[in-house]
Amino acid sequence: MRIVAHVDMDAFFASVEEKLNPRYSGKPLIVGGSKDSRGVVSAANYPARRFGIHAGMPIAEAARLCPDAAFVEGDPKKYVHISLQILDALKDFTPIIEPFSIDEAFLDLTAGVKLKPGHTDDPEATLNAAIPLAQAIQRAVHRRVGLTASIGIAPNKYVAKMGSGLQKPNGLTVLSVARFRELFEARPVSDLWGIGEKTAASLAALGIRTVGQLARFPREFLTYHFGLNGDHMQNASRGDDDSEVVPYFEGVPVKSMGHEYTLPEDVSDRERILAHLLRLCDQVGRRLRVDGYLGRVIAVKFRDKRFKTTIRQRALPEVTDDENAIYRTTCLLLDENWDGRPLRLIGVSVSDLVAAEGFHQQDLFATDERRRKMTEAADSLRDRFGDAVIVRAGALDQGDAQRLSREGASRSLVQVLAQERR
Amino acid sequence: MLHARSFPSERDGYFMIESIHDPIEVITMFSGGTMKPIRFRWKNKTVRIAKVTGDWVRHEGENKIHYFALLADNADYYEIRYDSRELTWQLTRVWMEG
Repeated sequence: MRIVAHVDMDAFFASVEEKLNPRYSGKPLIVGGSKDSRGVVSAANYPARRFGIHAGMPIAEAARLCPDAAFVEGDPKKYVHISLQILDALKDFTPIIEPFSIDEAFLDLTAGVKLKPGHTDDPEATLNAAIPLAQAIQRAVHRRVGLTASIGIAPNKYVAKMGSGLQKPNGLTVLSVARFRELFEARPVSDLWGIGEKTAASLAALGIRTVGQLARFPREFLTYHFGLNGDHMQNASRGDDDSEVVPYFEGVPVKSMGHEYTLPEDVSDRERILAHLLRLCDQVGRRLRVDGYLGRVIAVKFRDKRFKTTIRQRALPEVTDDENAIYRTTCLLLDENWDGRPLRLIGVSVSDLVAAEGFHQQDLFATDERRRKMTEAADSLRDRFGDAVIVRAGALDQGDAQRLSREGASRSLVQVLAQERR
Repeated sequence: MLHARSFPSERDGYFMIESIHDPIEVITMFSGGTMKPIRFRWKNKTVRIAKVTGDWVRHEGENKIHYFALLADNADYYEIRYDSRELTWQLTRVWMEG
């Protein structure tokens, strides 16, 4: 039997901010932006959660629920730095670690658990034998970064993940498959990892409301209604999961890359939206090239002032890492699907990724040698001086153009701003 | 540029300031391959550092920017950054009692 641990940092971003500035301790703290920003909550500490605040909630709503909370802008570099320190601490316990996100990881502890003489094959007893190791992991993480983690121990990744969320913060939960089934039998299906509100509503339409009902529903009906996802959902409801813990050094394949941006105010001016879109495409193209990927499916996401979110995607005939190709496709998708209502958020992503190794850049840019050279030159400058050293002219808005003009930029340079977006 | 913000509320006598990019002068101890700010000068005031609560690094191209989270001896909180190419220090965030 395998012994898998899911290590989940407690309210990670908020805990980092609390640890750095102890004066936040014990007070409601929200990471995501200033009180008057238009973004969403990235993390809330436990005192803030008592007000009903959770990740993904608009900041404005969080401010309404808890006006006296501290609102802090997040700093991804800070969190990545600490996340790597945590990963380093985990490496002392097993080499089989799969970082699942910035604040979560799966560990295969099977080889590290010492079973006592006379040990039986009882699953509960085998999992319980991992408790001292899990406690040592919690202590090591705390010693290294001063933060608490909750851990779930189970015979597979899915049940371990469900277990880590049961007793937070600083919890340790051992969950066999039998215990998982017993515990979740009467709980709503939305308590399962991977089942959101929409899927829960679709399941309810079939008369499935609890995890137990989902576990017993005829599998063929589920796959008929939900395809492969029906299969996954039933496995989840039964606590069945035979996926391996994929060690970090083997690399977890990246499925997509994207960026999105909450606009500082609602925008209906197409030119301004295109400027933001170009900047996002530039960032996504750069990230693809740095990480060595090419993608085929381009998607644009936009959210209007009524919070209606639209996502549209299109497959290209060839894979690409060229921001110009990404930009042209997103422009088409935007123009075909946007009704002109003011937008509050815009995003771009590229999926269906393949490793760039083996593809010849010359083929990808065959039609435009000049552009290829320009991209290479820009990349080399950014490698040396950072991403901010070059900004696409078309990604600047009219205010930037006027400022450049005042600061002495040539007329032809300023004219480029409008031309580049066409 | 300064943005004042209330926390927990202004009437409690606290306020938070962030997004500062003021140049500062810093006395730093280099020891055992690490650097540790000891005190710094900001707006003609000397701030004595009681504790470094954290540090992290941001890469800007080949350049490394070192960040430090600090508690002053009067319990005010600061974040400062050191640009290893320009050899300059900046104050980036402050949280202090009003």
